[in-house]
Amino acid sequence: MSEGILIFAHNNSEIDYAELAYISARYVKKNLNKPVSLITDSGSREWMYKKYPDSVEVFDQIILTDNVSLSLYQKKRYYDGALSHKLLTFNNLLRSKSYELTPYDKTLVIDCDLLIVNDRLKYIWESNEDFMISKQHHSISSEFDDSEFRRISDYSVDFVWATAFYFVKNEKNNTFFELCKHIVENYDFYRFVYRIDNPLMRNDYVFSIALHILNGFSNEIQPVKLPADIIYSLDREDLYKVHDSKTFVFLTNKKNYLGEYILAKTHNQNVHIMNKYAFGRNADRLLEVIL
Amino acid sequence: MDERLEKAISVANLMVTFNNQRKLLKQEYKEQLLFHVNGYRFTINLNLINFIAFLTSRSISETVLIDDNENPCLISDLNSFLDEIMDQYFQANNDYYSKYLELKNKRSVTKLTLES
Repeated sequence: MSEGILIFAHNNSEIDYAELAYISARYVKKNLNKPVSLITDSGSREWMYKKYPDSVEVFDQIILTDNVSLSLYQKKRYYDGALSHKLLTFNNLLRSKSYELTPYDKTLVIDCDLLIVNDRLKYIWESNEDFMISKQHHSISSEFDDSEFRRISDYSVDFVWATAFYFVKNEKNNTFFELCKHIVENYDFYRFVYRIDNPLMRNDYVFSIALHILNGFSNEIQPVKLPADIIYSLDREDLYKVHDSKTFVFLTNKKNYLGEYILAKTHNQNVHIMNKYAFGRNADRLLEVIL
Repeated sequence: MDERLEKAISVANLMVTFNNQRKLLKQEYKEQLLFHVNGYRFTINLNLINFIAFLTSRSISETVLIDDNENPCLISDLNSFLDEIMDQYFQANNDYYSKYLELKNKRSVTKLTLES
């Protein structure tokens, strides 16, 4: 059975998602040694080719999705630290098409802003499970109240992270992704039923709802966790320094002091860097240390 | 600002940073305790080690264990399973210990985070 990693990336007017995907793919290849494919549009691909001509070799396949429905574009507030943000176009809803887009039988899907710096995810390939996703990731800051990531709303079901998930192609998982597509297409209805306040359609919400439905409208059955933990740094935080390919320093928010930060260092831990501006600012250094 | 208060705030910043680093270190340690065998996953702890050591002391070489995902898993060679989980356990503990000592000896935010 073929095995590989899938990354989605669609640039907008300011964020070079394809660049983040390229960096993320370099880290994945180094640490998991598996082929990586990219789902993108032709504009993002051409921009990436110009900037990183070797991206042709980094990616196993580049799959274009130019005929994507415009209804999948949303507006999202992109933070760059606690005090600065911009409203930009966001196209991130093709995730529910992972099943039909992946060229692999066994696929690990990751966000383009996830840096895999250890090899602990390698155990998914030999696992007996056909679907893995985590309910809990860990904040880089011990002071952060993560209640927004425990349930999809105060009155609703458990939150699962679509940042990274693994699936094997089979009938059961096909049903899961078909259900996700149905939820995306009828999101206003599901948003109302599941009492989600946030107007932004997130893959995390779609996956959480789909899992809840497939588990017989129950939170009792826990999804199988990925074999590695993921630490997240919010978009209201900043990537301050890249020591080496495994050690990063972040500025994390100080509790109750907006715009004040404390430093936090991660070492050998997979990190989800939600501040795309910070990721981009450190792109050269992230590539320099992985060479 | 009163000098004493200024000093207290700087110590508070150091303590927040130290506690955060300790939390991240503990998470890394917990990850190191995950043991994978035949597609199943076990968290190594003293209960697991003691139970397997007890079975091997009774010359039992094969058993079914329930993994972290509550799936049953046949372990056909308990002696080598015990060796492997003990190796990994001590390696994780020693690593945690040395990194913790290193952390404890750093007396400034700069040393805790900015020095590699």
